Amino acid sequence: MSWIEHALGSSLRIGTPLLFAGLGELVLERSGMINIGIEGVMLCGAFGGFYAGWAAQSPLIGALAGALSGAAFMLVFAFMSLKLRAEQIVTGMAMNLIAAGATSTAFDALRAAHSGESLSVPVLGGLFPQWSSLPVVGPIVFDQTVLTSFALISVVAVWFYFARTERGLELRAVGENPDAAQAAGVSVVAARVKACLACGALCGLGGAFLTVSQTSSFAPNCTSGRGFVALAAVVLGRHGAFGTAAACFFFGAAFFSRDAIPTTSAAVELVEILPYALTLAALCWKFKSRPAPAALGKVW
Amino acid sequence: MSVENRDDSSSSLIWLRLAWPLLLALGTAGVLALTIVLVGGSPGPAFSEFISGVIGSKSGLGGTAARGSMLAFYALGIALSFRAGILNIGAEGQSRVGAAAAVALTLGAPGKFFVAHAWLGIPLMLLAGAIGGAFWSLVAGALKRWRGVPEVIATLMLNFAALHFVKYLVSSHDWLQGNTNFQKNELARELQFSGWADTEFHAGVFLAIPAVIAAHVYLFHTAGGLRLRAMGFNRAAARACGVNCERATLMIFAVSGALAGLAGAMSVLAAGEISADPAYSEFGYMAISVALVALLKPLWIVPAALIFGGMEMGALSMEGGGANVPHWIVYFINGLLILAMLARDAGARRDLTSEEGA
Repeated sequence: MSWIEHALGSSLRIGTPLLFAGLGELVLERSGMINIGIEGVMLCGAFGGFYAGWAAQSPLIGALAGALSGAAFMLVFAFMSLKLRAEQIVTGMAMNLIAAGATSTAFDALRAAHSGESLSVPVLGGLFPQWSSLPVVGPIVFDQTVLTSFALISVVAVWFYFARTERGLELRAVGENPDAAQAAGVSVVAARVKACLACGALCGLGGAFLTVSQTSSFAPNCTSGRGFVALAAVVLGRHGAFGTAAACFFFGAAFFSRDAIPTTSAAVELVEILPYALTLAALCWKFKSRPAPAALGKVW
Repeated sequence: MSVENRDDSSSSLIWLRLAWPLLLALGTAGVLALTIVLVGGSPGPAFSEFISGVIGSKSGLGGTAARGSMLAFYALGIALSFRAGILNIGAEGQSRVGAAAAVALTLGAPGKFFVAHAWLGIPLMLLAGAIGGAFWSLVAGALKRWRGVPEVIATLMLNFAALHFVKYLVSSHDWLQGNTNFQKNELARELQFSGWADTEFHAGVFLAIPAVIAAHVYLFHTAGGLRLRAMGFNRAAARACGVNCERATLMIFAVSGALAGLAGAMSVLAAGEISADPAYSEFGYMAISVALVALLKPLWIVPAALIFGGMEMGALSMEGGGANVPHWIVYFINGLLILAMLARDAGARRDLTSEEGA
């Protein structure tokens, strides 16, 4: 049993940053916007989280700073798409380039200024470490850091928000038919700005997970395409919280199995293709049965 | 609605139109200087290294031209598809598939034949690259045409699929085993573009010129180009006027993919090998800024691509030299330039009386 527990636990750990970013993109897409720049937002959170976590020597402060820097960076997207009404796809592309350039440049500068010192964040603990000795669920769910637990809670929270609250209904209305929502008294811009901030915070946490929980340090482009995998997970999960979470967990499992393959084997690359190929296949297969929000990506 | 709907006829914006290139250049230099100061470098030496990296040597000039031509091919495809209202952002993947298709032609018995007859082999490799790129692009086109899949998602996913697939081919020895002409992933000497005095410059650079002219003539001086632009302005109206939007969409995917695939094949011929992490990675995304800065006009893509190619060379020289400025800075500048172009569009749009529907 233990290897299964190990595999499931590892898949959950590897899937955590995907889970955060996927939920963030989900909230944004349900509000009728699409940001293909969440890779950049994650990178921003990863660097912000690393920097604050290192400066304060506290991983929790790092995670908080990651969420804040992700949200702050998403304000650029909100300004471009809501105020200037710019094309969202191109804006997202630009945000990826800006974040990749800015964080790598800043990290190089930081490393040059502190050469010889170790630039690392202290280890992040678990939420209920004493429960990790429980059978089955212990090693899978409780032998994780606080951030993974928070990601799991976020899945339920996002589902509850959309399915059971009035605000969630309003946000969905904004995503389906902004004109009707506005006529009904919902402020489209305010709702979308909030969705941007939530997306930024979640993606930032996803990035920060990489630097304060998984590796305890930063590396240029350390998100290595996870933002795009998360984008795929939202599509594959058919814009639902649990669907997205399942897709993220599945991709986590795929990447875990990739890590088990010797790196000299070319098959590693075939596993890397899996998320993208599956998403394309899912898109071909009855894309219209549960469509994306009607106003997705449209300038309002 | 978006990037494709640009109208430069607004009279109150003449000053902005004239001052725009200058404004952009000054802004870029300013941001660059500020960033260099922020990361603890000194702008003076960094700038002189930047300049000498571009025009100070033969290799700088050759590299600028080679990288510029690569970006120009990508940007042409991007300009054509953005003009038609199709956001094909898959140049990155299409180019890699094109590169792999070109190399596939050199394997086995046909490969031996092509090495012996390079005059036939090289054009056929370029053709294979174009076909490969067009094929990869048409996958996204077909998904859009028949399944209603948004092309942005499809091209993005195909980019990563191509990236890892080509990595698989390059690292998998089975694939290159049948290759008797060259060691591992190197091309036979006969099938390589001859460089110019040991620089990155290669004969393929000249191919960019007819491509630019053809795109310009097509876009602005043929009925097909008019239909394409009409489609970008308002798809429904274009359809009502008798434009076969479905067929045109597939055609645009094929052409833009072929341009990217051709560039990919050229890069293999120039580098003399297919590599899992080619020097031109991320160019497919950077070309979006090239196309936007050139206002999606084919003729303007030439200077824009050369400037961006030069920026890449200059940044590499800044990084290599003592100025201690990381080459990452180029990504940052590129992203800011895209945002600047989008903001400029927003300014231009405010002056147009007709507000287009979403």
